[in-house]
Amino acid sequence: MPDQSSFKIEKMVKFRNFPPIRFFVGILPISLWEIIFFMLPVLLIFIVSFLIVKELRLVFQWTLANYTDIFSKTPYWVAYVRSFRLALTAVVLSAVLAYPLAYAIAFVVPARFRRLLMVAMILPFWTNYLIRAYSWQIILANNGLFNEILKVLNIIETPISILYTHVATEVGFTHFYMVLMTMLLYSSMDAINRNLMEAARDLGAGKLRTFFEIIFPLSLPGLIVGSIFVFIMSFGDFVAPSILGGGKKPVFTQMVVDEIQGTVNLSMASALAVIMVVTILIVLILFLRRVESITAGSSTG
Amino acid sequence: MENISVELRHVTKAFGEVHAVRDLTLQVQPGSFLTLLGPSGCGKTTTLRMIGGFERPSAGEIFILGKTIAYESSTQRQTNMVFQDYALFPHKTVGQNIGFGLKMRGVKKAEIGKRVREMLDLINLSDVYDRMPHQLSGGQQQRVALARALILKPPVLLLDEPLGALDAKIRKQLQLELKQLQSELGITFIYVTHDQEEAMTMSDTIGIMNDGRLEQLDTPEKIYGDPQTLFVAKFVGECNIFEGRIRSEHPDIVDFEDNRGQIFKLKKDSLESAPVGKQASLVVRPEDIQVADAARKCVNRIQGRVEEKLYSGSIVRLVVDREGEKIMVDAHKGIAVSPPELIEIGWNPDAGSIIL
Repeated sequence: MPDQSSFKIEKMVKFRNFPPIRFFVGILPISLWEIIFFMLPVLLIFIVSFLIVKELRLVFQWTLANYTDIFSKTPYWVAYVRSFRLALTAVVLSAVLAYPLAYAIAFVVPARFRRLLMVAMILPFWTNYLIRAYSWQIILANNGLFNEILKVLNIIETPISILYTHVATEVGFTHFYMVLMTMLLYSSMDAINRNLMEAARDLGAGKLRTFFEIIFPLSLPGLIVGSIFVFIMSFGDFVAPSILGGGKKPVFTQMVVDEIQGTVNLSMASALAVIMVVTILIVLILFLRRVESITAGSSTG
Repeated sequence: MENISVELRHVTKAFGEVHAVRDLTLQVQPGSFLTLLGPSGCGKTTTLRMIGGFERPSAGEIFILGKTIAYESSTQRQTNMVFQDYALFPHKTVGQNIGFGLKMRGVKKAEIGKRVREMLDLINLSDVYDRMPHQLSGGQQQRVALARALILKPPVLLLDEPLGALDAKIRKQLQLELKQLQSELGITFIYVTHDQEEAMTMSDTIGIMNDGRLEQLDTPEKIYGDPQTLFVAKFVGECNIFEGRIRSEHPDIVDFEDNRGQIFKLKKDSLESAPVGKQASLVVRPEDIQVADAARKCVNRIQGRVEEKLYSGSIVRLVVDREGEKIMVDAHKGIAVSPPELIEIGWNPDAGSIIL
């Protein structure tokens, strides 16, 4: 089919094509904002990560020492893997919890209650992140709400320590970022033409098959974009790991903070930050490609 | 029972307080093309959806080939539906879309592939097997939707305004194709549209619906030539309506007296009974009215002043004023009258029809 292959090539070219410069003139204000407050700082961090710090001062001397340090010393690696695992777990947990919720809002709940439910879900998102984190401390502490309830119900005698472990971190991540996942899932489910389900039913598909053949594949873009969000937010989060997870088993973001506050090694902190940014970029590119291919409808098993 | 494809008995559907369909009874012969025609909100789509098993009637029964219909999704369904917006699965290829029903029935892959290709040949789209629906034109998508429904060989195919989103030219072509396909396959088609011309061209039987009721179920000729209600007369084509009463009855002819006291004669054959003195309406189609010389030979004649002369291709539409009453007349384009000329128009007893 010559038609189809030419179509694919055309799409790839489009994907690679950088828009012409004049395209950016109209969005100059926002572009400037991006350049001054985002691109320049990132560039700065990138440059600093190749310098060294001597006697608390940045010295202009190009080196790869920071990176070789990170790659050779285990604590960094352990923290990196820990961050990665925590973020992945947060993705899985929030997907597992958010999917049924989004499904219920989109397909089960009567239309007039939908907005109310969405608002109810988003409201906590508007409260300050720190306040939410400290609230979880109250709930998860050894003499906190959760343990007290378990004691009253005679399920436990001695409190389970949750606070200051990464279980608490995970609770925080999941609570904070599940909203994003739910909203993104909901919006892609809500966009599914209801006639498609009727058509599937008309052609003899039961509820389960309609779900796996129609609803699930069409909600994949939401699931993937939601996963990217949850991953990036959790991977880069410093608040939940410190306030809820404690500092005994530091995550990668805490290593960055330690380099700045503790040893005042700006270039080392920058190198760590660059590794984080690169990680996130790789995840972003890998997953967004998948979304592109789905929304174009060219591949779904 | 077996010579009836679809039967509705006293079917009513209420959504809360609103009655979408009221006491609908109809029978469809196997292999025939029934169109449900009516304005939006008349209940035609609801009726179709009930036959398709998507809605349960609030009262009454629906039979397909003598059996009550299955509401649960299952491979036992007797009907398939072509949706207004096609409802093609956007993430599946054309081949996967058409083969979906067979896949649900557990047919083997090779067999599905073979039958999908047969369907694609049938709808003259053999080279789109691996395309995605969004890569097709509207008309092609419509054909794929049709193929997807037809591959299951349903005894009854339901079509919900399937051509509504297409432009006029493709529409005309697809009307023809649909009609041919229907007679080739011998499947009962139940077709919903609000386009009267479409209904006229394609159907064996037309059911005109208004406000949840079936106003008339008849052949296209009868619907147009012998409307049973004022709604049908006004909805299908254009017409002149004279209000009045039945004055007297003769062996073949009925005398109708309009509110101005003029008597019009018309043939009795379309009337089962002609209760003398009863209020009635006389319907005369614009193209049945003669003008000028031809009018002088007509039995029923009216004097009037030409008010407007509107060209529309092969004919001219004259609006004739009869002391405040506007009468529409379609005449040959070469007609030599022009406003504000005083003319005579007329028609013979076989032209009009009376609605009681």
